[in-house]
Amino acid sequence: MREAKAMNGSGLLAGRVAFVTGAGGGIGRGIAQALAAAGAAVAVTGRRRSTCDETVNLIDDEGGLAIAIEVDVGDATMVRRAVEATVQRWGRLDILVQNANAGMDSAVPVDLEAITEADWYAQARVAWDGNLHCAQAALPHLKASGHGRFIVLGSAFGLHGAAMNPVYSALKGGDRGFVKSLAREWGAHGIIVNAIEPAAATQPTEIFFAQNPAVRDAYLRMFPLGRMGAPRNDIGRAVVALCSDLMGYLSGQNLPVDGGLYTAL
Amino acid sequence: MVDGVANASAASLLTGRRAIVATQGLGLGHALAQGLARHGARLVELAAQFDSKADAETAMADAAREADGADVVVHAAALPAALACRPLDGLSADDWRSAVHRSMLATLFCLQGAHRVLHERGGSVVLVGPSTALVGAAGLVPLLTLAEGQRSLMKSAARQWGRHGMRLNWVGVALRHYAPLLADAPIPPVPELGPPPPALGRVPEPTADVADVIAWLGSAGARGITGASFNLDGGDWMVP
Repeated sequence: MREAKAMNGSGLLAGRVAFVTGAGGGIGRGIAQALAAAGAAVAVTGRRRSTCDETVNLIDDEGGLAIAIEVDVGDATMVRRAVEATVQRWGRLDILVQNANAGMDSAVPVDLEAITEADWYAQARVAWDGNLHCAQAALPHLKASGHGRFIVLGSAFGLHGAAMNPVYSALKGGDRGFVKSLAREWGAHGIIVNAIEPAAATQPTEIFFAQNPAVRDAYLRMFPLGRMGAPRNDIGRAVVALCSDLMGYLSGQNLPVDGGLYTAL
Repeated sequence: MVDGVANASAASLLTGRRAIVATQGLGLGHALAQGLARHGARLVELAAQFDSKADAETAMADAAREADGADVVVHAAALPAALACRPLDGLSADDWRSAVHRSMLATLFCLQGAHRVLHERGGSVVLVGPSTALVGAAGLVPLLTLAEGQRSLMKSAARQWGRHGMRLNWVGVALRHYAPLLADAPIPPVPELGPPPPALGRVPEPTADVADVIAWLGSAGARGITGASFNLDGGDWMVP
């Protein structure tokens, strides 16, 4: 466990403790940074300790409070231990953001008729098992919080059922059912459950677009706001809002945070 | 009032067409098969669970041979572990795996088998799920995660296989028809304070109302429809 040294004592989430999965880069890193900037103490978790350390360093540089913990969300024991370590360090857990995903690192379309059982589990153990493990580990602490938030990072792929990656689309579609049902199940505990479907430019996206400029131009033209989101300022801040008291009456929703891209709900 | 069951004009929708009903042991399948037979379809029912792509392709090919071809495939899948109402925090890893992963793989394999028998001439694939998936329900997190995953996979298949003339759609049915075991599950009531929903005053029945819609989706009249979701709840939640 590595810890940044300072504390942000003000902001929408001052005094809250957050646990973010897949926070070693991309959208997860942006969310962790935004939560810390809003005053939360953040457990930065991911499969690679080194990248989590980098995220903690970035938060540290801004005076935020964070620790890095190596976690594979497909492993229930690792998730439970990491959650307990977080609670042991800061005394509480208020926010869990299940951002970890696998399977979006390929820009090559996958034929549905060729998908194997191994293909399914390679992605599903992170997405769906990760949801289960995080929910089960966090529940007692979110109940005790009084401000409990459970946020799942979905995808527009799950809304429209992308041809590009059927397994990823199915998993993200399943996230919708998970969130709607869990929000109803945990409402009695005062825990708010939501999903966001982000569209954000991450490093793999930028690499793909650099290699395929025509695709980039065509894709960007689909966004009414004319650009993809930034992990921290667009997606991370949306998560901050959902976790704050400003959104204390919003639950069970799947919210596209995508510059107006998806308006079909 | 026109009785949807006895409607003579509907009886011609699938005349001369071949339908395979693969619902993995869900009792709903037989009711739907009866309804499709009433529409003139030549029927083959597959009750076995598909544990692999090879299983599904073999079963589908055998069924198509038995029916002298295939035009319509109707599918639903939810293993017994998915058909229980219980809180998520007490769910075992084995039950989760069976409820969501094995059930989802059964659907993946079934779609692959359907592709095998339909991709040369086209046809209609209808996935059947619980309409409650559209709104969620406490105690049913695994089942409704599965159901929404199946619905999204249907859309991906519709996008990929449209070029083969394959159309895929989803039909939502009342939870008590999808799985009678869950007839007493506490599904959320629609927040309507006027006349009590559903608007039609009854919940659509599988053999009559649901089979009629599936038959229509398999007919030429629905040739422009794919990737769509039809919630047959009699006008309850009226969601998109």
